[in-house]
Amino acid sequence: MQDLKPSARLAPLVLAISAAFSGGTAMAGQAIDADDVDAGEVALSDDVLTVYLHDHGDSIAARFTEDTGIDVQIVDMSGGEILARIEAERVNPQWDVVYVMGHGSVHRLHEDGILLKDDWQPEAVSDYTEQAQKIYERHPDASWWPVTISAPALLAYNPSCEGTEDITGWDALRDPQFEGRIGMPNPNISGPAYPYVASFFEDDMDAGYEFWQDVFDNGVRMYRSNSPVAEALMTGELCVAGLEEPNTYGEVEKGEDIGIVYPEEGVPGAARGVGISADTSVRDDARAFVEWLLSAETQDYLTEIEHRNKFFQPVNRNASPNELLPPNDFLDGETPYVFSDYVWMGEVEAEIKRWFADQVM
Amino acid sequence: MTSVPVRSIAPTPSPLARLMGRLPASDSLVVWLVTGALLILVALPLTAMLLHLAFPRLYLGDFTLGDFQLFRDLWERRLWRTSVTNSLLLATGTMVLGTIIGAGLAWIRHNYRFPTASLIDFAAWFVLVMPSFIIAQGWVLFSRSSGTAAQLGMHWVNDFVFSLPGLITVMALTNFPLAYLATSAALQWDVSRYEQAARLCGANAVQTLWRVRLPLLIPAFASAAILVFVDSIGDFGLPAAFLSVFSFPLIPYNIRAEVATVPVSFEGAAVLSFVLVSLVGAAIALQIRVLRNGGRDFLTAAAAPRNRPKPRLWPLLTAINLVFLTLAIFAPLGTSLSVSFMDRYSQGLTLGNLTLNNYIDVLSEGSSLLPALRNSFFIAFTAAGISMVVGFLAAYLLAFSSNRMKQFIDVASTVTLAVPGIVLAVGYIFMWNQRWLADLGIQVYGSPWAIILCSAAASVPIAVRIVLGAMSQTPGSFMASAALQGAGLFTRLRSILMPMVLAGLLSATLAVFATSVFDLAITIMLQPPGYPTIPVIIDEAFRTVEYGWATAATVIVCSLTALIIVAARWAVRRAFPSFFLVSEDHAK
Repeated sequence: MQDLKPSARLAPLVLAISAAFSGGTAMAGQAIDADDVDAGEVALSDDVLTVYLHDHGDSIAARFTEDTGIDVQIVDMSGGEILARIEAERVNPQWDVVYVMGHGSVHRLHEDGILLKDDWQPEAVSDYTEQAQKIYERHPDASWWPVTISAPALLAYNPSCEGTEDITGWDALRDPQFEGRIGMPNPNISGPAYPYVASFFEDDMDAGYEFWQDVFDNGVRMYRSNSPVAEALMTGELCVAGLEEPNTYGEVEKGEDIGIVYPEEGVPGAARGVGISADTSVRDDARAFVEWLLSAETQDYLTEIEHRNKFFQPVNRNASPNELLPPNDFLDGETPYVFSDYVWMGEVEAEIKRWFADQVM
Repeated sequence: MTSVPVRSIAPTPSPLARLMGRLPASDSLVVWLVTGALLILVALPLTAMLLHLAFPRLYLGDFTLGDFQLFRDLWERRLWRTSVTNSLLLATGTMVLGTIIGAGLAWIRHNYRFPTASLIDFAAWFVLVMPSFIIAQGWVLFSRSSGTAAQLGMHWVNDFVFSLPGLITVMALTNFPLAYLATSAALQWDVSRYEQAARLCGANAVQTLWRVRLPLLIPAFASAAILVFVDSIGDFGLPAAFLSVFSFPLIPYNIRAEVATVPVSFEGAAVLSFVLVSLVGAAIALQIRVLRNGGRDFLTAAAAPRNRPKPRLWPLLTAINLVFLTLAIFAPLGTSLSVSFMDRYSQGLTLGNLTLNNYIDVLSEGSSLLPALRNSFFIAFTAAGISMVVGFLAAYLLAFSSNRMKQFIDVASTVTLAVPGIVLAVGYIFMWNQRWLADLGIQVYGSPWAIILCSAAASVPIAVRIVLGAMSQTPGSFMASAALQGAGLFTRLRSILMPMVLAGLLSATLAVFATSVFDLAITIMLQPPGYPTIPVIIDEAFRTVEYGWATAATVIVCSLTALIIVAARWAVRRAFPSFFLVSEDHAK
């Protein structure tokens, strides 16, 4: 990280501006208070670990500092926003650790040389569950690690719509009886939506285009993120939607009447990944964060805390499953996730996203 | 954000001004200061954006010339093509409808006397100051399939509002104040002697209207129409709010999407920005042409405020007026207010659903509103301070100086009127997100200063034009005689100009303050991570369908901002009562 102390790095500018207005009114001698830069939570500074993540940031920040004594500033943004910020800051990165949905995206950061390249590995990798192990072993030398696994989309429906009780698979999205009442988050804006739509292209690109073209012809509605999709489903604007797994259970937890189908073809699976910046100046703190995040205690804690989407499936086999969740056929056994080839997924990302963007009308 | 572009004042220097020009010129210091400030605020960011069109990988320090393929994408990519067409359709439709509404209201208001007429003025200013994304969110809540309109039994509202004609209507109701204010200025003066002359020459009523009255008003109508067009095509708040329930691609939101979603494309943002600025530029060029050709010097000493009779139809006019106000203000803002007291939005406004919990949540410990309030108010105060100082000094130079930098100052202090906030913010990213600046220790991008400087740049034209209006009424002889008696430049500015324009300066500063608190376009593009601000957290709460929280926060922040404005006005008027007497006498 570069020198982040704003009062210091802004000094030349502040001087220039105060000089510019030598009438000496509002600006003279006014440097920025570091507290102002950071919303009053933690003072921004060169030595403080900065984490870009999506969701449950507050719960993590307090607990991490309590457990390790290391100061951390957590910047909570949407998944797409985090990746875009990292790209925008390429000349001058302001982050040390990224923790975001979609291990394919994190792996692309690794391939672009944005993640740290050395041979350090957290101890917790030896405790990975079978599923996590499968993902991890593909690139055991990369500076990123799976933290939790979930489905970027499963089929959710509003039971008050006629015909929804017969839904068994993804074809419901192109079923004419739900025409105009199908929804999904926009893969260009929402982080989890890309692994979801991309999974349909994996075996055969043409088949993927054909499937989604049918869905568009059936009048699908695209939303900025998962929350408005869930809301539209509840109010009956939508009958069927592809909805992120944690989000779906968040709604079920709130007592909303919502039906869930794990399609017979299987649900796409994706991991949230955590990675360390190649540019970090606080390497040890960053490693401590990764180690802490993967430990059984933290993974237990993450299954228990209250946050917007109450669903955290641990990847550490010493952690206990999530007790907050309602009974589900799959949660006792193994959820039938289908993992896409994430290297391939990164390669076709621009092509698929561009096609989707051009379909949105 | 927008006000009427006034052409530069006093092109030919009076003998006194020429005398002043020969006086010991400490002007050059002011010129240097203002030029430097405008360079940093306006010229460099926009140049950086243009450079990016030529060198798309500039932000990585790579000077490879672009292949301009992206310009071809404008008609090859369906999304881009659609958003350009949509933006043009929406802005043109809004221009027509908004001008009809604004000019129609101004016509009624200035030709007839009826109860509630003065409410129109209030409504126009109120809607003008309200940020468009807050109004748009009110409309979304009002017209959703389970929204307020549906609960009132008006299910057709949903189908109507979420369509092109519906969007045009909503935007026209948001932007009509510009047309109203622009035409009011022309309509409030009585020039009936021209009409009387025509009637004496044998013209009938229709001919008089067609041949005399309308041609005199055409420049005002044209200005009104162009202003509405420019403000509609560059607006970011409305597409941002509507997008959560309705896909309707528009250029401003796509600019945001190019830099804020993967794959990030700064060059895409530059190309779309260039298109947007070209469209706005074409509209303004058209306006200048119309103004040049139209007769607009009909106001002479014989003009008097129009005599307004109370027509027999006054109950009808009152009814039209009230229906309109209900639509423009009550539908969106009343909805937001009512939603802020609802426990669950989907259950509607019933007694059992009423709660204060949203307010308690918003104001409780750990809520992001309080840090965001502090951040946004800091940004707005500082931006208002900067644009006040730059605006005052620039207006002084434009009104009284004959320095050769005047042309640059005139252009630079006007140009951001024509550059939508979202484009200006893109320029700021290009300008400040560069390695060599970081190496010099100047880190503006990623700090609140990016928002502050960008907000100030967007507001300078408003400050300059308002202050210039007040200053141009101040005779140059006051300044010259003070100078002859040995008063230095800053003494003259402080003791002569300041008191004369204090009222205007105060209005300008408070207007800048209010718009900067709520500017979604600039803030969302430049907000540093971990630095919550009001428009972004409200937009975020709205996006994640926490409607209760979003509306409660909106109500609180709007009330606070209004309170600050009222308090500031009161305090300044009380502290300097005589300054206000001067300007009020002047106004009489």
